[in-house]
Formats: sequence, structure tokens, C-alpha cells
Amino acid sequence: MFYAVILIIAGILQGFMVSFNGQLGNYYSLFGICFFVHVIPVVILLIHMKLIKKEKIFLYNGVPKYIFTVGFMGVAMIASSSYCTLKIGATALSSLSTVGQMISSAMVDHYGWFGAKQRKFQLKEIPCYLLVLIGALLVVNG
Amino acid sequence: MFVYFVSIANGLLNTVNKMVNVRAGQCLGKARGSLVNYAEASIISLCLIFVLGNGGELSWEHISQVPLVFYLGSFCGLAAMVLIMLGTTQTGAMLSTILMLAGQLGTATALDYVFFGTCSWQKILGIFLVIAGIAWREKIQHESV
Repeated sequence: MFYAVILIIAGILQGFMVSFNGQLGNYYSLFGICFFVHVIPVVILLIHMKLIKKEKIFLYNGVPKYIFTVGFMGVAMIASSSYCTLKIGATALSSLSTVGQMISSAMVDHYGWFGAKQRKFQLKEIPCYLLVLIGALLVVNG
Repeated sequence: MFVYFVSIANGLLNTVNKMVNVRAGQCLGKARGSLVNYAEASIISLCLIFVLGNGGELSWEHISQVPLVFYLGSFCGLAAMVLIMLGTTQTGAMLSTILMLAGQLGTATALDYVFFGTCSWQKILGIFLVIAGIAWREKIQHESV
């Protein structure tokens, strides 16, 4: 029960994050939002690593090159989510984004991309996707 | 219509980003992996701000005009990340996905009402259908393992 509450709180915090980031769009350009959303955790992480854990910050030998695309993806995701939150609201964005996540996670699982354990797509999953799609459409048009 | 496609594309990218972040965490450790993500994105967005001629929004006068509460989005994101790591290991992927989605969509609905004044029974029903669909798929996947 304790961990269930923890996860609901995590979801609530994600809801606040999407909504607050969207509201920043009333004051900043899309990339201005991206800057503040990312630079604040940089400061927190640097304090955590240097002062609390006393870890080395630079240790990047032998790392796959594609890992360094995360920053570009982070900018694209925050910019797009802030833009959409301002246009259609956080609920509609979250619902439509869930549809996208279902599709891409099914593809990743089906083909075993990024070292994920391969799990073939099953036709009996289609009604689940349709249910989510109908739900998302209701949220968008409601 | 464009904004709906962007929202779905955001979800598509979310999964790829999550997978690459997990790989970064495995290669570099969780903190260093997250630092690469956040530091790189900060530098890219800073460059784009100046390239697009929006440097003025980084002045202290402008920054201090924004209500402080709106800067808390990134703190919420970091706190959520820690709680997800803590909770997922104890409850499993299926239950954690459903609980987080319920919390996220419930909060988004409440905040949309606060900021935009929008809420309807169709939206609430839609949220239940989205959660039910995800729960159903998770159940099928869980049974097939």
C-alpha cells in the first residue's frame, strides 16, 4: 500500500510538471522553457554528485555514441509538450502522448530495439489500443 | 490538427528517450547519466535561445517577473523520478504504470480546470478509458510472460 501511494504521488508530480512547464510558455519562448526545465536539475545533480556523493563528474569513456542524443530528445520533448499544453491543455496532451507511448513501446518490444527483451506484438492487444484511442478522443473533444 | 500529431509524436519520442536514458544510466551510473541528459539539453536550448534572438528573456528583470511556482516543474520531475525508482522495484511494472497514469491524468485534469476552466464528464470518462486500456494491455503482457 505504501509503495502504491508513492507511485500515485509520482504521477501527481508528473502532472504538476507538465502543467507548470506549459504555464512557463506564457512567459518564455519554447527554448526558454527548455533551458529552465533542464538547467535547474543540472545544478541539483552537480551539488548531489560533488558535495554529497563526492563522485567524479567526467567519466565517459567507451559509452555508445547514441547516448549523447538524449539532450536533443529532451529539448524536443519539453518544447513539444509545453506547446501542446498551452494549446489543448495538460489532460489532452497526456492522453494523446499515452497513445504515442503505447505505439512506440510496442514497436520497441516487438523488434527488441535498444537491447530490450523481444516480445512479439499480439493481435489480442488491439482492443486495448482502441480503448485508449477512444478515451484520448473523448478527452480531446470533451 | 497539427497539435494532436505533435502530442502523439511526443509520446512516440518519450519511449525512445526513456530507453536511451536507461542505457545511459547503465553505462554511466544513474546520476551521471541524468547529468548528461540535462546538461546537454541546457546547452542546446541556450544556443537556440540566442540563435533565435530571444536572449532578452534571460535577463534578471524578466526571470523575476515569472511566478516562482512555475519554475517548480523541474523539481517535480526530479522528485517523480526518485519516487518512480523507489516504487517500481516494489510493485512491478504493471501496477506502477497504472498508478502513475491515474495520478498524472487526475492532476492534469484538476490543473486544466484551474488554469483553463475546462472539465467535463466526457473528459473524466475518457481518462477512465485510457487507464482501462493501459491496464488491459499490461494484463495481457503480464500473462504472456
